[in-house]
Amino acid sequence: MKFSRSAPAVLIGAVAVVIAAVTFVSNEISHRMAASFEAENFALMGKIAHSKLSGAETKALSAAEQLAASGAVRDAFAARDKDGLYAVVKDAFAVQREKYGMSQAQFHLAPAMSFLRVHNPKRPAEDLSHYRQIVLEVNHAKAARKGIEITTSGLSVFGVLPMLNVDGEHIGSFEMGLELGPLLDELKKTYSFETALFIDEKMLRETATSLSADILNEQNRFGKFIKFYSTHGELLRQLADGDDLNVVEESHYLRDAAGTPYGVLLQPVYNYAKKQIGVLLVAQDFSATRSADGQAAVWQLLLGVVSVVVLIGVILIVVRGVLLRPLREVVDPVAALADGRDVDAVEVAGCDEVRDLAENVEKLRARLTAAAKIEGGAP
Amino acid sequence: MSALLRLLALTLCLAAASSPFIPAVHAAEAVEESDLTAIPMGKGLPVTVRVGVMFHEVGSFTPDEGAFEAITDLRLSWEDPRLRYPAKEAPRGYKESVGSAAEDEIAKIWTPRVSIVNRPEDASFTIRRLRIYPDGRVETIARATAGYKTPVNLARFPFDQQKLNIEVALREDVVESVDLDFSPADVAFSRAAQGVEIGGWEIGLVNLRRDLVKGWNGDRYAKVTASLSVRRDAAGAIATIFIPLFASLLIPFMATWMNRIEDGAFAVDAFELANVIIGGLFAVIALSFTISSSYPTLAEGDNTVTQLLGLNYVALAVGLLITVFLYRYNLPKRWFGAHVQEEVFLFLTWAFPLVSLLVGAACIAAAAA
Repeated sequence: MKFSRSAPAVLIGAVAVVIAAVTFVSNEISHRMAASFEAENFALMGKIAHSKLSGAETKALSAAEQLAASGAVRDAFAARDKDGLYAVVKDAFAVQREKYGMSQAQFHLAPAMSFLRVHNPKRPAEDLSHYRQIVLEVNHAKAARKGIEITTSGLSVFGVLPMLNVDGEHIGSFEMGLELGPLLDELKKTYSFETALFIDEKMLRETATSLSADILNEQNRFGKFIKFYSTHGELLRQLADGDDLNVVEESHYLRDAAGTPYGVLLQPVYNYAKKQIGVLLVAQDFSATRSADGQAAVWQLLLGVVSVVVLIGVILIVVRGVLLRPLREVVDPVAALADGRDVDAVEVAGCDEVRDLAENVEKLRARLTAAAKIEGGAP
Repeated sequence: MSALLRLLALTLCLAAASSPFIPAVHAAEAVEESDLTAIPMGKGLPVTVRVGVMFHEVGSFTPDEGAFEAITDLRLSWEDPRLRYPAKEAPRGYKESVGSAAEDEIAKIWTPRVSIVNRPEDASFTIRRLRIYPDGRVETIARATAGYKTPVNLARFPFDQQKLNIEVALREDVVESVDLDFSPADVAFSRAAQGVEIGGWEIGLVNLRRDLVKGWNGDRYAKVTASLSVRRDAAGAIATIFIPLFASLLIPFMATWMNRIEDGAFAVDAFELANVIIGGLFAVIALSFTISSSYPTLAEGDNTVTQLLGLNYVALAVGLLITVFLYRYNLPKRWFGAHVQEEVFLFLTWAFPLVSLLVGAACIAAAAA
């Protein structure tokens, strides 16, 4: 083993390994911090979206309770007076629709027979029992319910309550429905979330028979889903495809769209019967955290490399400059002395230990020189 | 005393009642309903005005001035129930007027008093179109050719993405009276037309954002900003700016490399090498001046260019320190001996350029991250 080569190599190797490990760990820590922040952001996005939907359900139920609380409404419904009922509720519903986004109001007879669609009074009565589980449940349990359901005209958030006559007998149910689109627009307006609602095409085609072709078309098809509503269609097309939407539980991922990294959260959407009917996509610009994470990685890597270079310099200067090269200046005269050759005075600049060694070699050289002279001068 | 207080209270009440600062909503309520130029209250307040902006052409974008010129369509739509009419009156589905006819019609009805807050001068060309639908929906589209101011952030130059903003705001009607908003239809309307090009920039999507601007006494005013994202073509900037910045780094390296050790002493006079460094300093100052005059925005703030200029100055300072302390005064030799000095010299010949180039590369990589 040659110390002059192996010692710096071992020291440099050790320094490089240690600094690489420290850099890797610190990079991993900062990366995890960014990931943790993003995970919290995803959780918050999910909570906000969920809260908005459940708030809408409560809003629909509250509007239904308000409209149904009138005695005139109750009496007209109990008397099966369709025209009278419509006359009583139409103005109140018009206000709810124009100002508060209520899109549907409907009275049903048990178990789920449509009696009066206030939003479309000319439409004939029909049995809703094959697709309106919430209505069946309300008329069965005689208790208010709320939830999302696909109807013939699309998808709405419903609040449904049982209707009782003046004697407290159950006479049917009443519901009010809220469109989901304006709710998603509010999410964008308030939180800058881009959102899209995708509904299973098969379910939509089976039930939403009067849905407009603007929705049921090839452009809106994402795998087995149809994009029912989105706040920014062009952007959302870059953020998800049909395969991404095949989720059965909440999931998230990062994806670049138009040069900006987005955090994309996918939430399964369930109808009142707890059957998954689609997926809600919520996306937010994550460029701040992504950029901070990338920059932290770059500067940490640079710090690691610069540290290695500086420590290599320290090792080379100390090992070679302070130890090995001065030592070489002592070793060469010692070798010459050992060979019996003449050697000039040994004088070395270096650390104390090397200087001590040089001084002792010099003493040895002087003694050997003196001894040689005596030996040579003896008669 | 109490009589005085009552008088003071009465005076304050009268002053408040006649104050011009009472909210616009109160003033609007006082207007007769038959006046079609009064704010429409049929659906209650606030009246929601939806905004969409389409970029037809972007004539120029100068980041240094934070300005761009564009031909845009500004679409405003709202509901005025007073303007409803039987659908059979409009076989096309709406009543439409364009140009001077539209201006005449617009003068007769209420329209939101929006202003483009980042348009410093009036548009050089405008034309408006008015459509009124049977259900009372009113839509105006104004095509305008104008210059706009937009904030520019060069922190990530040359990998930066800028936003060409058009800020539509209400300055007279508080948000409780008139609100600005947008729907997915407005988002779909808001885009760059096919064929829009800006030299050196890649056109992206248009995004709409709603904000509230604070006014006096808690008043708030609605604002919608339409932002066209544009991404810089980084390759163009590399040739013109980054090659000179990295080339100037060679000067302090040359001053370090040009020396050599012969018999334990430096062969080249420190004075000559110091001259090289001073020459380099003037070169970097000249480069800095050129950049600040050609790209004034780049010379301000923290961005890749200012970081690389800073690196140049630091490299020159290090080169000067090497020349003075190593070549001129031989400090390592005086303190630790000739061998240490030789090792320091050998180390600096490769470590100094390597670290400088790594820092330069990191500045660019951080901007790209």
